[in-house]
Amino acid sequence: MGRGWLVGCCLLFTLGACTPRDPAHTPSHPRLTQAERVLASDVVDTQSRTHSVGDLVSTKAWTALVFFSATCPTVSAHDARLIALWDAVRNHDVGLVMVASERDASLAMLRHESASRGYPFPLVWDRNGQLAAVLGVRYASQAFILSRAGEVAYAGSIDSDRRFLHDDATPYLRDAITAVEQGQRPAPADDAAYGCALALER
Amino acid sequence: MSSSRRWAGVGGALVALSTALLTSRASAQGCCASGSSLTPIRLDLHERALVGVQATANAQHGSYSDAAEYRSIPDGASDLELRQTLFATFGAWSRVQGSLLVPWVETRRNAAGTPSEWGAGLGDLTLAVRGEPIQLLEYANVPGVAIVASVVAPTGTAPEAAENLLGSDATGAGVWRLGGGIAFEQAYDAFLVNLTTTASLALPRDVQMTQVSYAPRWNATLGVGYAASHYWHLALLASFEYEGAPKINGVTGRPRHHLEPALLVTHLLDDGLRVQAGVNFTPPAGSLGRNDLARLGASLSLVWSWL
Repeated sequence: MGRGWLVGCCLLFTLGACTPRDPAHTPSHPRLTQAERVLASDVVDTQSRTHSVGDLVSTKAWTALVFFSATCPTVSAHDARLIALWDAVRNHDVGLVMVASERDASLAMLRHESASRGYPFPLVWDRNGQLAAVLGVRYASQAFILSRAGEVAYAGSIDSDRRFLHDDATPYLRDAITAVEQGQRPAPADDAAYGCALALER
Repeated sequence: MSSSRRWAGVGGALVALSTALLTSRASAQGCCASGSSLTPIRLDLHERALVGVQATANAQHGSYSDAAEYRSIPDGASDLELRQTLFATFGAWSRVQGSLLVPWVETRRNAAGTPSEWGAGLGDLTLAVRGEPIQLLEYANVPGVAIVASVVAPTGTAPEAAENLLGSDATGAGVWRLGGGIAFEQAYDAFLVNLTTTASLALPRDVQMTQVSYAPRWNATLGVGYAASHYWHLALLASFEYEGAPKINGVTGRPRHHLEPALLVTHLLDDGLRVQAGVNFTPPAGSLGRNDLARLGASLSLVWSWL
């Protein structure tokens, strides 16, 4: 009886510990690279139009994606900073897009959230969490910078703050945008993300 | 004041406190009631370490007989335990965290007609480990699963080593206790439901000329957390504990059990700083306890954490 419990617990822990963290390395699409799967992912804008991510990132040299959750305090706390960031880079060759991947997201909810928060940038619906799965996203406010080719130049957090904003926060995403615009590799290029766990379809 | 009226007052105060907190929320409903709202020693999402201090006060208001009848503490008697616990938790890996709890215990006790006496000292240290093979929200429709284990070391003053007449200077159980269990946790919007079941066993020991062997102690705690806002979290917990009958020199004693609900309120002061206040009480209803003490308590914790 005791040994059965022990074996069961070990199996359970092994199952969790062996869960792949980076879907880019899973063999579900062995012929496509992560960048190709990113570009092939579909998102829906608040006017109900479907776009491939390839279309979305093709208009700018670099596109920052930030994953959204309507109830995540980290996202809400960073709304003003994201709007300021968009304002700072709007005339650069850099785009900014928020992505909603949670399983309870809907177009109606995204329209309401985008309007009430005053987002000047697109908030798109990653229906079924396809894009989140390809990028291995687990947390709201997790940020990426993609090239036109769909390659990830930066993965991490918006900055070093979570729910509470501090004047001395390190602006990781802003710094990363500056770096890629100057042809440099962002540092840190794969920082931890500090938002809420996303309720994804998987 | 009669016992029933007194307890109706306590219950009313708890309901009023809950209602006030729920209705006076400063911002919209927040997501992510986390495990740290159920217990101060747990790391929150992304946290790698924390240290904290918890102050608790528990006063005995009665006890349960072997016939599972509640009896108020006799007039003129009292038993108050104050406990300050320093704790630290370290997330060695993203799925494993270990905690150390170091309590300091003070007890004020008096029997009817006797002067009160105080005792104080280091309590029993606890080392606890929590592993999460499946983390909360890692999979849709699959609850988070955690394996927990603990060791309690008899670093406090054992009851038989106490020198005060009423044993107020006993600050520990005097016995090693090993425990383990499993916890399930699922989030529903702003709610978090957690069920933790543990079993522990104290190692046999000799007390002077007496051999004592203990039966397993079982505990099941159901907790419901609620993120009332981004900065205020509430949690209701109900903990049921049962311990089988010990054997003393081969003679079987009596089993004991009790139910203890608790209400916790957590306020996030900053990303790395939170305060948690709570009340707990053992209901004065006989069927809910047996051969055990009934108490009313309060706690206050301050936690600093790091990402």
